[in-house]
Amino acid sequence: MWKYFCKKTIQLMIVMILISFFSFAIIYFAPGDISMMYISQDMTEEQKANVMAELGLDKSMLEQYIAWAGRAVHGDLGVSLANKASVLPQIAKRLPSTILLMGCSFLLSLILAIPLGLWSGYHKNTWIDNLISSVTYMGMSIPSFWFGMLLIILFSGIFHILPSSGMHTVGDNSVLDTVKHMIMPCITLSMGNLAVYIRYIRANTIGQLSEEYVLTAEAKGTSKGKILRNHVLKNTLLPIITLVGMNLASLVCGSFIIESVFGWPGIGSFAMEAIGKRDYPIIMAYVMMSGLILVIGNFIADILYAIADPRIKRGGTESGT
Amino acid sequence: MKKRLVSLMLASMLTATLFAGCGNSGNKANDTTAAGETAAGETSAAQGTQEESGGESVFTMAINYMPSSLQPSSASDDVVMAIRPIYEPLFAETKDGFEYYLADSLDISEDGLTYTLHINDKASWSDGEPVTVDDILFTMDYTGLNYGGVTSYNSLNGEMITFNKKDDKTLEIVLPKVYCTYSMTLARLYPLPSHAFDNDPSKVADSGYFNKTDMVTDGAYTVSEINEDSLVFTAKDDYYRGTPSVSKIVMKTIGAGSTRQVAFENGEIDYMRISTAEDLEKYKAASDKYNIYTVSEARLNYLQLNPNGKVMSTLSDDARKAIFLAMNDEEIIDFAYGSDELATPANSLLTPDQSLYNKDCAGYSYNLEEAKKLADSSGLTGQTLTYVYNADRPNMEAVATVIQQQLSQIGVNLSIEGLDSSTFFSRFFTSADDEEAPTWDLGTNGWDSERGTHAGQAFGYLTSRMCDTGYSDEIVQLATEANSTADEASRRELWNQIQDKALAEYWEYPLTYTNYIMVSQKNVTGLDSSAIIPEFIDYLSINVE
Amino acid sequence: MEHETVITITEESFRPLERRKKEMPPAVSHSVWKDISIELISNKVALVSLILLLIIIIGALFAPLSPYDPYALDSSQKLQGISRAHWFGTDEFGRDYFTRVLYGGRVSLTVGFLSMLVTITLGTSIGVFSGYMGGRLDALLMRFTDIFLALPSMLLMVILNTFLQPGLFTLVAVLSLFSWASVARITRAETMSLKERDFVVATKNLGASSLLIAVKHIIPNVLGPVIVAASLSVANAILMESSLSYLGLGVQIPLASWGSMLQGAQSHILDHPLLAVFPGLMILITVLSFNLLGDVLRNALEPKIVK
Repeated sequence: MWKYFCKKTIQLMIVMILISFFSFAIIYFAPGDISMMYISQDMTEEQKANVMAELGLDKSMLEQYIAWAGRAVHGDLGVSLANKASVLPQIAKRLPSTILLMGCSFLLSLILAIPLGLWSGYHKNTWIDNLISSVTYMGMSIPSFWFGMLLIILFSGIFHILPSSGMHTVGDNSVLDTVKHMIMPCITLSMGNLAVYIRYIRANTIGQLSEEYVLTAEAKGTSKGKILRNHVLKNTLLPIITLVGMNLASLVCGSFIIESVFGWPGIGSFAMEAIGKRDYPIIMAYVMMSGLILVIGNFIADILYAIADPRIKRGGTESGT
Repeated sequence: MKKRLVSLMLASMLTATLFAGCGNSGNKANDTTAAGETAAGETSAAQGTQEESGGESVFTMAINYMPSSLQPSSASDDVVMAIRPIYEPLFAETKDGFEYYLADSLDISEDGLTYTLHINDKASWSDGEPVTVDDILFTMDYTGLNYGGVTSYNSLNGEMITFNKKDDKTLEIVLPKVYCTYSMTLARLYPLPSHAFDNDPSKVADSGYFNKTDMVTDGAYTVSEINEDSLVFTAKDDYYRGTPSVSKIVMKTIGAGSTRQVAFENGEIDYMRISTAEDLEKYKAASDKYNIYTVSEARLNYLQLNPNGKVMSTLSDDARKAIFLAMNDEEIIDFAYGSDELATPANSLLTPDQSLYNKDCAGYSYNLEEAKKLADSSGLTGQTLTYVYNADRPNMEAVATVIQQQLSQIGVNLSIEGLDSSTFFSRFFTSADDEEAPTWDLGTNGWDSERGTHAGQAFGYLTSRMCDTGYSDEIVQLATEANSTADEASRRELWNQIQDKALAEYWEYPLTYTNYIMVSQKNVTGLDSSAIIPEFIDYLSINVE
Repeated sequence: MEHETVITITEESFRPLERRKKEMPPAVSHSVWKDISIELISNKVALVSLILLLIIIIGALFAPLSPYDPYALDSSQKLQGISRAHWFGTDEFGRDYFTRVLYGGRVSLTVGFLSMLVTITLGTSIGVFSGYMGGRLDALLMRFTDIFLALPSMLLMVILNTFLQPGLFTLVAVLSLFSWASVARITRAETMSLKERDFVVATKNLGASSLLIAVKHIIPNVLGPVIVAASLSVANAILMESSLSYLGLGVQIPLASWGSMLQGAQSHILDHPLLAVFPGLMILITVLSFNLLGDVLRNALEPKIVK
């Protein structure tokens, strides 16, 4: 177990290093001179050179990367080029909103997926299963921003029952108000994952129901509902851990777009603004933050799964899926 | 199992709220938000606004995103818009002269060299400290920190400007030479409170000062809340220009695209900008519910031919003429704006909001036959040119679509690239020796805030200070001379000449003068009384019933 | 070079010929297509999706037959509603929206198919190579693949796209760059199990080269999962492209994909919602069909999954 844990930790670090190097390279080789924005026409060549040096733009990419990485390890993600303030507190300030949105849509998709998946697996090939399946497929195939737009038009524009964007009504700090603001972004963000979970649970339920222990239980006279709850659910939930880890990416990336559609004040919309301004330290910090959420999510999923199912550990390097 | 599930969910929810809570407590600003904290107990001091708001008037504005800090600066329109209720410029320019804010006079000596700026005696920061000359000098020093000490505030092409502090409220500025556009530079200055930083400009960066609600302000409002998605400003009692009738300004982030329109129609925000003719019609028809305001944006949108462009640099004067004659301004407005209330055809490189504007300047007129002939004879026909535009600006994509169709009639193909602002500017503002200079042949851009009694940005472009614009030495010299002519009559005479001569060189096609049209809820009035974009500069004139 | 190959005849040159006689015909590869066609005809859902897709593809292919020019502006026809002349109405430039949607389909489908081709080619080559070679090289390649799977792809796509010159080929390159990894994973797993199978081992023992084995035996046999992945990959690429277009990072005007049409329709969405509905529906139908097809195929090709 310990060895497995260590290996996964090292893997995590390598992934983070590569993510950072990769995004750093993209930014470095990007066409367009960033120094443009920080140099005024009244400056002499020497002053221009000074600004370049101050921004660290006169060094080679590798030097710049190493300097950046060295500082990042100590928690210093640099200073925003746009407002000269440290990046970390600015990100940290917006992170909770993003985590709240991601957490809630994750919970929402899980809470809905478990009963729906079990239900449709249990009643496979009936109209209810078909209905759930079609909704699931729709959820997978709909462009999320479009779905979000439709929701806004429907619930804010036509029915006037939900606020169109933001996170709070000014002057109203009730939880209810935040919940109201969260409904639409949450639903939009959970659509994709919901579909994946439902399909997975359904397939698993069908598989489990044909297992012999279910027959035994049935023979003993246990009710179907009880079988579902006591046996099938348990065996279905376990593999979901990995699935959750794998689908974190869609949450992280999804929130990026959803936040801008709904004006949600998280790190996604913040990063979008930074991309527009070419504020590299913030872009880097955002990529690292999302990468970290993703990688740590995967890591926790791996570890939990290994704890739950000891067979995994021995797979080692040759875990040939 | 059920129990376990429920507890699992509760636990995850707790984690989520914990995260939210953590972020908040670390944040010293009066952040009273996040579900978690409020659930834990209504701790906030600044709250209870709900009951209060019954008797007071609130004006809610939409912002594109939360400014990362409320530090006054003229860096972008978004920032300027967000900080104007709390921070003011010294003065604003109009074609009739200065509209004073923190300053109450700016006298320019007859020889055009000495500027005497007097700050309003009553102008003060919200902690009672007066706004002084020191604040202005401090702000200039602070700006200089990022640019090696030399900025457009304190130097003119390398020659230093002298500042003499006459007394706390009076500053004498002596220019090394006459430079009419210097007032434009001064109008962009938003003083910072020097006393809050012990007069040390290096303390401003990373102080987090402009992220806390207790920052001192010099405008009509003070900051009372900085939330995750909104800002709340409260009116000052002792504002030097009077007491604003709107007691609270709320700035709210609103999602992209049509979300804003939904929010407006729902009454979540009090006004919004209209940029299509269809919307204009729609809200006009519902005049019992809405008010419509039209303000000149003082913007010139123009098409630039790039003298360094890969193909353009090989073309003759006639080819450029052919391009301009093939363009139909009326049609561009019809398709891209749909109404002459949103934009009118431009006839000069100056705008009607500038006193030097010559309304008799002939502009270009559409002549397809002549264009075809010239295109043929100059070898332009059959060429493919690269066209760039700023995709972040409204209507520019539509303009590109129309111009592409118009130029196809003289056999010119356009390969169009829509770029975001950052990429666009770094490619558009280039000189011959820049790597990116040849990457485009023609493109649209706009000069904004072209207001006042000088030529504004047009001067910089005509003299190729910002980027190569292709003008002959004659134009460059004329423009330089005009900008250093103190006498108003002879300056006007020079600019009349320049307006005609510049167009005769076929480098820039003045496309449109645009209007900024806003629609507000019926109970809101006075949005157009201060005609300065980005909105709003004079918060005293806004009323909410 | 060519002369040399003609001249040098060695014993080696006849090997492939001799080998061909001994070789078993790859019976499995036939059954893949057979399985697929049987499944497609018998499964109603698959049949409907296939027909829908065919209609959309044919529509896009024959778009030039439309009497309207997708790019010509007409100020008298701005924002017309649905009529007999304009089945989907017109847009704010007076262009026939039905024609625009057909042309939009060309762009969206081109992006979808091209990036699928690149994704599949890249993914299969890496997967088969890695799985066949095994050992350290395999371990290294798979770590690399895992990293690509762990990247926040949409994000990097946005960043990359902002910095590159936008356009169709940038889109295809960026989309495939971030989607080959899962294909590589699948094909590698298949290859690993195939290379232990009797017929492969036998061929190997008969002295066949690795390349020959890979091309002749492994690739035809991983075809099943690859086809499934291809179908899902088209769906994914079209969906991603629409998101990128929504952010303004798509193809350049006057070209338009369904995604960029959606973005263009945004400013009119309240008053002319149909402008957003049509391209949105097209994306939905196309992506849905590819997703459904992919799943139906998977069921057909992997009998162990319970239907």
